[in-house]
Amino acid sequence: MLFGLRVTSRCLKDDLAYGDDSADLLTAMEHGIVRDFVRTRSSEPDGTEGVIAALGVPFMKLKAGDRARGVTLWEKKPQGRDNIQDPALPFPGVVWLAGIGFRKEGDRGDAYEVFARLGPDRLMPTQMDYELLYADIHTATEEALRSDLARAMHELLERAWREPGRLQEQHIEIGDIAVGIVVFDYGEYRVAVLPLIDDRKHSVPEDILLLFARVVFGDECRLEELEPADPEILREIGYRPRPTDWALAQLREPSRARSQ
Amino acid sequence: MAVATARQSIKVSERTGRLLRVLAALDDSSQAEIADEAIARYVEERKKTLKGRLGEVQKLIDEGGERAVARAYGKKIASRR
Repeated sequence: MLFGLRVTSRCLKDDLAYGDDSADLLTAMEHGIVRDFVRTRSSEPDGTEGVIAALGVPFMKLKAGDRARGVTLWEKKPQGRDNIQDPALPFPGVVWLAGIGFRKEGDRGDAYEVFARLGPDRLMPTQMDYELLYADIHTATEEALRSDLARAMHELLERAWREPGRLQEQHIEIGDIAVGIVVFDYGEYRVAVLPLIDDRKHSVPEDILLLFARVVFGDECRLEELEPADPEILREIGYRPRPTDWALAQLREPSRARSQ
Repeated sequence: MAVATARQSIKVSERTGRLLRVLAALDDSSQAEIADEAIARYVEERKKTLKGRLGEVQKLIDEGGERAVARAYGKKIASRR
Protein backbone atom coordinates (compact mmCIF):
# COMPACT_ATOMS: atom_id res chain seq x y z
CA MET A 1 0.00 0.00 0.00
CA LEU A 2 1.35 3.39 -1.07
CA PHE A 3 0.44 6.20 1.32
CA GLY A 4 2.86 8.94 0.27
CA LEU A 5 0.97 9.80 -2.92
CA ARG A 6 -2.66 10.79 -2.34
CA VAL A 7 -5.68 12.41 -3.90
CA THR A 8 -7.53 14.91 -1.72
CA SER A 9 -11.11 14.08 -0.82
CA ARG A 10 -12.29 17.29 -2.53
CA CYS A 11 -10.58 16.27 -5.77
CA LEU A 12 -12.03 12.75 -5.62
CA LYS A 13 -15.53 14.06 -5.05
CA ASP A 14 -15.72 17.27 -7.07
CA ASP A 15 -13.25 16.69 -9.90
CA LEU A 16 -13.46 12.92 -10.39
CA ALA A 17 -17.11 12.58 -9.29
CA TYR A 18 -16.67 9.70 -6.88
CA GLY A 19 -19.71 9.72 -4.62
CA ASP A 20 -18.36 6.90 -2.51
CA ASP A 21 -16.25 7.92 0.51
CA SER A 22 -14.12 4.82 0.12
CA ALA A 23 -12.61 6.02 -3.18
CA ASP A 24 -8.86 6.50 -2.97
CA LEU A 25 -5.73 6.66 -5.11
CA LEU A 26 -6.14 3.07 -6.21
CA THR A 27 -9.71 3.69 -7.34
CA ALA A 28 -8.71 6.88 -9.14
CA MET A 29 -5.93 5.13 -11.06
CA GLU A 30 -8.53 4.36 -13.73
CA HIS A 31 -7.89 7.96 -14.88
CA GLY A 32 -4.85 8.60 -17.02
CA ILE A 33 -3.89 11.80 -15.22
CA VAL A 34 -3.86 10.00 -11.87
CA ARG A 35 -1.58 7.34 -13.34
CA ASP A 36 0.65 10.15 -14.61
CA PHE A 37 0.60 11.68 -11.13
CA VAL A 38 1.87 8.43 -9.63
CA ARG A 39 4.44 7.88 -12.37
CA THR A 40 5.96 11.36 -12.20
CA ARG A 41 5.66 12.17 -8.49
CA SER A 42 7.08 8.83 -7.36
CA SER A 43 10.54 10.13 -8.19
CA GLU A 44 10.08 13.89 -8.44
CA PRO A 45 7.64 15.14 -5.76
CA ASP A 46 7.27 18.62 -7.23
CA GLY A 47 7.25 17.44 -10.84
CA THR A 48 9.02 19.33 -13.62
CA GLU A 49 6.19 21.40 -15.09
CA GLY A 50 6.61 24.37 -12.78
CA VAL A 51 4.47 26.32 -10.38
CA ILE A 52 0.90 27.48 -11.02
CA ALA A 53 1.43 31.24 -11.29
CA ALA A 54 -1.91 32.28 -9.82
CA LEU A 55 -1.39 30.17 -6.71
CA GLY A 56 2.36 30.18 -6.17
CA VAL A 57 4.45 27.62 -4.28
CA PRO A 58 3.68 24.86 -3.33
CA PHE A 59 1.00 24.44 -6.01
CA MET A 60 2.63 22.75 -8.97
CA LYS A 61 1.36 21.95 -12.46
CA LEU A 62 0.71 18.41 -13.63
CA LYS A 63 0.23 17.95 -17.34
CA ALA A 64 -1.11 14.78 -18.88
CA GLY A 65 -1.81 14.43 -22.59
CA ASP A 66 -2.99 17.40 -24.61
CA ARG A 67 -5.50 18.92 -22.22
CA ALA A 68 -5.69 17.14 -18.89
CA ARG A 69 -4.20 19.28 -16.13
CA GLY A 70 -3.73 18.88 -12.41
CA VAL A 71 -2.41 20.70 -9.40
CA THR A 72 -0.16 18.93 -6.90
CA LEU A 73 1.48 19.97 -3.67
CA TRP A 74 4.27 18.37 -1.74
CA GLU A 75 3.97 18.56 2.03
CA LYS A 76 7.28 17.59 3.56
CA LYS A 77 5.74 17.73 7.03
CA PRO A 78 2.02 16.89 6.98
CA GLN A 79 0.36 18.79 9.84
CA GLY A 80 3.86 19.89 10.83
CA ARG A 81 4.97 16.33 11.56
CA ASP A 82 8.50 15.15 10.87
CA ASN A 83 9.44 11.57 10.05
CA ILE A 84 6.51 10.69 7.83
CA GLN A 85 7.97 8.85 4.87
CA ASP A 86 6.51 6.15 2.71
CA PRO A 87 9.15 3.38 2.50
CA ALA A 88 8.35 3.03 -1.20
CA LEU A 89 9.28 6.65 -1.96
CA PRO A 90 12.66 8.39 -1.91
CA PHE A 91 11.46 11.59 -0.21
CA PRO A 92 9.75 12.53 3.07
CA GLY A 93 6.16 13.64 3.46
CA VAL A 94 3.19 13.36 1.13
CA VAL A 95 2.39 14.57 -2.39
CA TRP A 96 -1.26 15.46 -2.84
CA LEU A 97 -3.13 15.58 -6.11
CA ALA A 98 -5.38 18.48 -5.20
CA GLY A 99 -7.26 19.27 -8.39
CA ILE A 100 -7.93 18.00 -11.91
CA GLY A 101 -9.40 19.75 -14.94
CA PHE A 102 -8.94 20.43 -18.64
CA ARG A 103 -7.01 23.14 -20.41
CA LYS A 104 -9.44 25.48 -22.22
CA GLU A 105 -7.53 28.71 -22.69
CA GLY A 106 -9.68 31.81 -22.40
CA ASP A 107 -12.61 29.80 -21.03
CA ARG A 108 -14.00 30.18 -17.52
CA GLY A 109 -13.84 26.40 -17.19
CA ASP A 110 -10.10 26.30 -17.92
CA ALA A 111 -8.34 24.09 -15.33
CA TYR A 112 -5.96 26.81 -14.15
CA GLU A 113 -8.82 29.31 -13.88
CA VAL A 114 -10.77 26.85 -11.77
CA PHE A 115 -7.76 26.12 -9.55
CA ALA A 116 -7.23 29.84 -9.03
CA ARG A 117 -10.87 30.36 -8.07
CA LEU A 118 -10.74 27.47 -5.61
CA GLY A 119 -7.66 29.04 -4.06
CA PRO A 120 -5.18 27.56 -1.61
CA ASP A 121 -7.71 27.08 1.18
CA ARG A 122 -9.94 24.71 -0.79
CA LEU A 123 -7.07 22.95 -2.53
CA MET A 124 -5.19 22.14 0.65
CA PRO A 125 -5.85 18.78 2.31
CA THR A 126 -8.53 18.81 4.98
CA GLN A 127 -8.71 17.25 8.42
CA MET A 128 -10.46 14.28 6.80
CA ASP A 129 -7.57 13.87 4.36
CA TYR A 130 -5.12 13.68 7.25
CA GLU A 131 -7.33 11.19 9.08
CA LEU A 132 -7.25 8.98 6.02
CA LEU A 133 -3.48 9.42 5.67
CA TYR A 134 -2.84 8.23 9.23
CA ALA A 135 -5.37 5.42 8.83
CA ASP A 136 -3.48 4.23 5.73
CA ILE A 137 -0.15 4.39 7.58
CA HIS A 138 -1.70 2.26 10.31
CA THR A 139 -3.07 -0.22 7.79
CA ALA A 140 0.22 -0.40 5.88
CA THR A 141 2.12 -1.12 9.11
CA GLU A 142 -0.41 -3.73 10.17
CA GLU A 143 -0.23 -5.49 6.80
CA ALA A 144 3.58 -5.47 6.79
CA LEU A 145 3.79 -6.72 10.37
CA ARG A 146 1.14 -9.37 9.77
CA SER A 147 3.04 -10.59 6.74
CA ASP A 148 6.35 -10.78 8.65
CA LEU A 149 4.84 -12.45 11.68
CA ALA A 150 2.61 -14.85 9.75
CA ARG A 151 5.66 -16.35 8.10
CA ALA A 152 7.64 -16.47 11.33
CA MET A 153 4.73 -17.85 13.37
CA HIS A 154 4.20 -20.63 10.86
CA GLU A 155 7.86 -21.63 11.13
CA LEU A 156 7.69 -21.31 14.90
CA LEU A 157 4.75 -23.68 15.03
CA GLU A 158 6.49 -26.14 12.77
CA ARG A 159 9.49 -26.15 15.06
CA ALA A 160 7.31 -26.34 18.15
CA TRP A 161 6.04 -29.66 16.88
CA ARG A 162 9.47 -30.86 15.72
CA GLU A 163 11.72 -30.08 18.64
CA PRO A 164 11.80 -28.84 22.21
CA GLY A 165 12.63 -25.18 22.42
CA ARG A 166 12.72 -21.94 24.23
CA LEU A 167 11.09 -18.56 24.05
CA GLN A 168 11.84 -16.37 21.09
CA GLU A 169 12.98 -12.82 21.76
CA GLN A 170 13.22 -10.33 18.96
CA HIS A 171 14.85 -6.94 19.25
CA ILE A 172 13.40 -4.17 17.19
CA GLU A 173 13.99 -0.49 17.57
CA ILE A 174 10.93 0.23 19.66
CA GLY A 175 11.90 -2.31 22.29
CA ASP A 176 12.07 -6.03 22.91
CA ILE A 177 9.13 -7.96 21.57
CA ALA A 178 8.88 -11.63 22.39
CA VAL A 179 6.58 -14.25 20.99
CA GLY A 180 6.34 -17.85 22.18
CA ILE A 181 4.17 -20.84 21.49
CA VAL A 182 3.77 -23.91 23.66
CA VAL A 183 2.03 -26.85 22.06
CA PHE A 184 -0.10 -29.15 24.20
CA ASP A 185 -2.04 -32.23 23.15
CA TYR A 186 -5.23 -30.23 23.32
CA GLY A 187 -4.14 -26.90 21.91
CA GLU A 188 -1.56 -24.15 21.60
CA TYR A 189 -0.68 -21.71 24.29
CA ARG A 190 0.41 -18.53 22.57
CA VAL A 191 2.34 -15.87 24.49
CA ALA A 192 3.26 -12.32 23.53
CA VAL A 193 5.61 -10.36 25.74
CA LEU A 194 5.29 -6.64 25.16
CA PRO A 195 7.60 -4.09 26.76
CA LEU A 196 5.66 -1.20 28.26
CA ILE A 197 8.75 0.95 28.70
CA ASP A 198 11.72 1.12 26.35
CA ASP A 199 15.43 1.25 27.16
CA ARG A 200 15.28 5.04 27.52
CA LYS A 201 12.54 4.67 30.15
CA HIS A 202 9.96 6.13 27.82
CA SER A 203 6.52 4.64 27.16
CA VAL A 204 6.28 2.34 24.16
CA PRO A 205 3.42 3.85 22.12
CA GLU A 206 0.05 2.32 22.92
CA ASP A 207 -0.91 1.98 19.27
CA ILE A 208 2.14 -0.14 18.56
CA LEU A 209 1.43 -2.42 21.52
CA LEU A 210 -2.19 -2.87 20.47
CA LEU A 211 -1.11 -3.55 16.89
CA PHE A 212 1.34 -6.24 18.02
CA ALA A 213 -1.31 -7.88 20.19
CA ARG A 214 -3.74 -8.01 17.28
CA VAL A 215 -1.19 -9.39 14.88
CA VAL A 216 0.27 -12.01 17.23
CA PHE A 217 -3.08 -13.42 18.36
CA GLY A 218 -4.80 -13.11 15.00
CA ASP A 219 -8.38 -12.81 13.85
CA GLU A 220 -9.76 -15.78 15.74
CA CYS A 221 -8.90 -14.21 19.08
CA ARG A 222 -11.23 -12.09 21.22
CA LEU A 223 -8.88 -9.36 22.42
CA GLU A 224 -10.78 -8.70 25.64
CA GLU A 225 -10.30 -12.36 26.60
CA LEU A 226 -6.50 -12.26 26.52
CA GLU A 227 -5.08 -13.05 29.93
CA PRO A 228 -1.81 -12.55 31.77
CA ALA A 229 0.53 -15.37 30.80
CA ASP A 230 0.82 -18.26 33.25
CA PRO A 231 4.12 -17.81 35.18
CA GLU A 232 4.60 -21.60 35.23
CA ILE A 233 4.44 -21.84 31.46
CA LEU A 234 6.65 -18.78 31.08
CA ARG A 235 9.24 -20.54 33.22
CA GLU A 236 8.83 -23.70 31.16
CA ILE A 237 9.71 -21.86 28.00
CA GLY A 238 12.67 -20.25 29.70
CA TYR A 239 11.41 -16.72 29.95
CA ARG A 240 12.10 -14.54 32.98
CA PRO A 241 9.71 -11.60 32.88
CA ARG A 242 11.08 -8.16 33.48
CA PRO A 243 8.99 -5.91 35.69
CA THR A 244 8.30 -3.61 32.76
CA ASP A 245 6.96 -6.37 30.49
CA TRP A 246 3.35 -7.25 29.84
CA ALA A 247 2.98 -10.95 29.05
CA LEU A 248 -0.34 -11.77 27.41
CA ALA A 249 -1.52 -15.24 26.50
CA GLN A 250 -4.26 -17.24 24.90
CA LEU A 251 -4.99 -20.96 24.85
CA ARG A 252 -6.33 -21.90 21.45
CA GLU A 253 -7.22 -24.82 19.24
CA PRO A 254 -4.29 -26.47 17.47
CA SER A 255 -3.48 -24.71 14.23
CA ARG A 256 -5.44 -25.96 11.24
CA ALA A 257 -2.30 -26.44 9.18
CA ARG A 258 -0.87 -28.90 11.66
CA SER A 259 -4.09 -30.72 12.49
CA GLN A 260 -4.81 -31.49 8.83
CA MET B 1 2.43 -31.26 30.17
CA ALA B 2 3.62 -29.53 27.07
CA VAL B 3 4.55 -31.87 24.28
CA ALA B 4 6.75 -29.32 22.57
CA THR B 5 7.83 -25.72 22.67
CA ALA B 6 9.92 -23.73 20.25
CA ARG B 7 11.90 -20.63 19.74
CA GLN B 8 12.79 -18.88 16.58
CA SER B 9 14.08 -15.55 15.40
CA ILE B 10 11.42 -13.25 14.10
CA LYS B 11 13.03 -10.74 11.87
CA VAL B 12 10.88 -7.85 10.84
CA SER B 13 11.56 -6.69 7.30
CA GLU B 14 13.22 -3.38 6.60
CA ARG B 15 9.91 -2.04 5.30
CA THR B 16 8.10 -3.07 8.48
CA GLY B 17 10.82 -1.51 10.61
CA ARG B 18 10.51 1.77 8.73
CA LEU B 19 6.73 1.75 9.05
CA LEU B 20 6.95 1.08 12.77
CA ARG B 21 9.28 4.05 13.12
CA VAL B 22 6.73 6.25 11.32
CA LEU B 23 4.00 4.99 13.64
CA ALA B 24 6.19 5.66 16.67
CA ALA B 25 6.92 9.18 15.41
CA LEU B 26 3.19 9.88 15.07
CA ASP B 27 2.69 9.17 18.73
CA ASP B 28 2.94 12.65 20.15
CA SER B 29 1.60 11.82 23.56
CA SER B 30 3.90 12.58 26.47
CA GLN B 31 7.38 11.23 25.89
CA ALA B 32 8.79 12.23 29.26
CA GLU B 33 11.21 9.84 30.92
CA ILE B 34 9.61 7.81 33.68
CA ALA B 35 11.41 8.11 37.00
CA ASP B 36 12.73 4.86 38.49
CA GLU B 37 10.57 5.15 41.59
CA ALA B 38 7.43 5.62 39.47
CA ILE B 39 7.97 2.66 37.13
CA ALA B 40 6.24 -0.08 39.14
CA ARG B 41 3.07 1.94 39.63
CA TYR B 42 3.16 3.15 36.03
CA VAL B 43 3.40 -0.40 34.69
CA GLU B 44 0.47 -1.64 36.76
CA GLU B 45 -1.73 1.26 35.71
CA ARG B 46 -0.72 0.89 32.09
CA LYS B 47 -1.65 -2.79 32.05
CA LYS B 48 -5.14 -1.89 33.24
CA THR B 49 -5.47 0.87 30.65
CA LEU B 50 -4.26 -1.38 27.86
CA LYS B 51 -6.61 -4.17 28.89
CA GLY B 52 -9.46 -1.70 28.52
CA ARG B 53 -8.14 -0.51 25.18
CA LEU B 54 -7.98 -4.09 23.88
CA GLY B 55 -11.70 -4.34 24.65
CA GLU B 56 -12.38 -1.08 22.83
CA VAL B 57 -10.41 -2.26 19.79
CA GLN B 58 -12.34 -5.53 19.72
CA LYS B 59 -15.59 -3.56 19.82
CA LEU B 60 -14.44 -1.49 16.85
CA ILE B 61 -13.57 -4.66 14.93
CA ASP B 62 -16.98 -6.16 15.74
CA GLU B 63 -18.77 -3.05 14.56
CA GLY B 64 -16.76 -2.04 11.52
CA GLY B 65 -14.02 -4.55 10.82
CA GLU B 66 -10.27 -3.92 10.66
CA ARG B 67 -10.78 -0.73 8.69
CA ALA B 68 -12.68 0.79 11.61
CA VAL B 69 -9.61 0.39 13.82
CA ALA B 70 -7.43 2.23 11.29
CA ARG B 71 -10.04 4.99 10.85
CA ALA B 72 -10.30 5.52 14.60
CA TYR B 73 -6.52 5.71 14.78
CA GLY B 74 -6.42 8.25 11.92
CA LYS B 75 -9.05 10.39 13.59
CA LYS B 76 -7.20 10.38 16.88
CA ILE B 77 -3.83 11.33 15.40
CA ALA B 78 -5.22 14.04 13.09
CA SER B 79 -7.17 15.64 15.91
CA ARG B 80 -3.98 16.19 17.90
CA ARG B 81 -3.01 18.97 15.46
